[in-house]
Amino acid sequence: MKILKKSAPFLGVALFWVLLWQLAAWKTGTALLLPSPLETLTRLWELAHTAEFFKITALSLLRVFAGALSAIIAGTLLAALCARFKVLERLLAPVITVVRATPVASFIILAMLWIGRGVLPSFISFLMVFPIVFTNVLEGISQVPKDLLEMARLFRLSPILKLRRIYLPSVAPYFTSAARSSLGLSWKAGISAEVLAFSPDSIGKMISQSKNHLETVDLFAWTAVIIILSVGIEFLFSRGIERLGRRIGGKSK
Amino acid sequence: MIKMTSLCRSFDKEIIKGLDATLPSCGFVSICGPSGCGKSTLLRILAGLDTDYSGSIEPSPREMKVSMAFQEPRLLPWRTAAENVNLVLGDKKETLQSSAELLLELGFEKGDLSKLPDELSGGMKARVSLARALAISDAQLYIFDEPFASLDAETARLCARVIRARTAGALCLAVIHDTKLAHEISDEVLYCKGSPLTALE
Repeated sequence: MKILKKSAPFLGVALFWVLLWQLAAWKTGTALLLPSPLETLTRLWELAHTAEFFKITALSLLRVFAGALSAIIAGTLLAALCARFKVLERLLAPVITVVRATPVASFIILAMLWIGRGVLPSFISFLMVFPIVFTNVLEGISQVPKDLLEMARLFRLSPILKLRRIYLPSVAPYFTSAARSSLGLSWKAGISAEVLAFSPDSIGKMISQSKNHLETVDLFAWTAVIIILSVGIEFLFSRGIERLGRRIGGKSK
Repeated sequence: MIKMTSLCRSFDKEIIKGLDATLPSCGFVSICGPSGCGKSTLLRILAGLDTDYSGSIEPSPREMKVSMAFQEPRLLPWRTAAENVNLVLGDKKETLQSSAELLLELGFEKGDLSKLPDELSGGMKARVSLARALAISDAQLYIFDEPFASLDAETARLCARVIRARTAGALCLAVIHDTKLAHEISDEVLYCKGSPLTALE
């Protein structure tokens, strides 16, 4: 009963937008231009009953998040190195600026020439996540309170203790905020890369095919899959980060 | 014994100029003087945190084991009061109990041991910082920069008693503004002379 009371406003808003969508679909009158919510849901249901659906979805997720995870690890380690060696930071600064400023479509097209279509989404996802995590973690390290570091020096705390009790909790809010914002971005960019590169066994390929065959219902159904997964990942990630934050002891940003 | 000879330290202006002073090897020594006279700078030099001075200190701060309570508490906001004390003991589970006992000696209530710094009053934070400095049991030099500034007279006396008991055999150097309290709890009271600081008398 409590859950129902809590979710009532959300359900109300959702119902409003679904009804509006339904009205627009009626008005349009053809599923080619705008499929109705029911048509989309039915197609999604049909897709979910095929073995291909799970294979495609799992592979897309795997590709994108393999890239994102590598970027999180590389961005964090490199930021730590740059904080220690300023020369490295100066050396990397133009690369980071260029990567951040370049449109994702340019990267996709260039990467299609350089690497295989299978790895392309991972590479693009890496490029989306890396600069955000790198910049935020570097900023987080620079914001570690100097007076705490001086206290650690006076009491001759071990490097491991300094890392665990001062650096990690101080940088954690910057890291989580970067990872949270870049994860959604990497998912969308990764799918775009799949669309343009026509990656085998991918959601992007299915979207591309539905456009070519003018199957708008399929396009809507696959887009719904992307949205559901995006929301789900964000939810799971936030939960995971909350737990990690509690363990490390940092405060959420 | 700590011997300072021709000690000088400048920032934008000279703070300490040609200071010659000798400190005993043990006992409670208070340093009194007006704000900005160079007391904290002197303490930072003796703690080994400021090395940009000229002149000499024998033995050098690098050779001494020093423990210190800073003017501001400098606590980790994400660790409890007892954990903050325990940090300097290597953050081990086995020493958490003794860290907690130190805080209880300084007038902490049991329920406050697991509070985060944000949940503590200024006086309590100062006592956590004091306990953290006292947790180092084998220091040769204990430095306290205005340790009683945010404590009432009764708590200050309690803390002074704990400091004396816990640091017997070592030198305690404390900056104290309340000269009456300084005379009451110290073996020796030194006054800062000159601006820049040139002597301790």
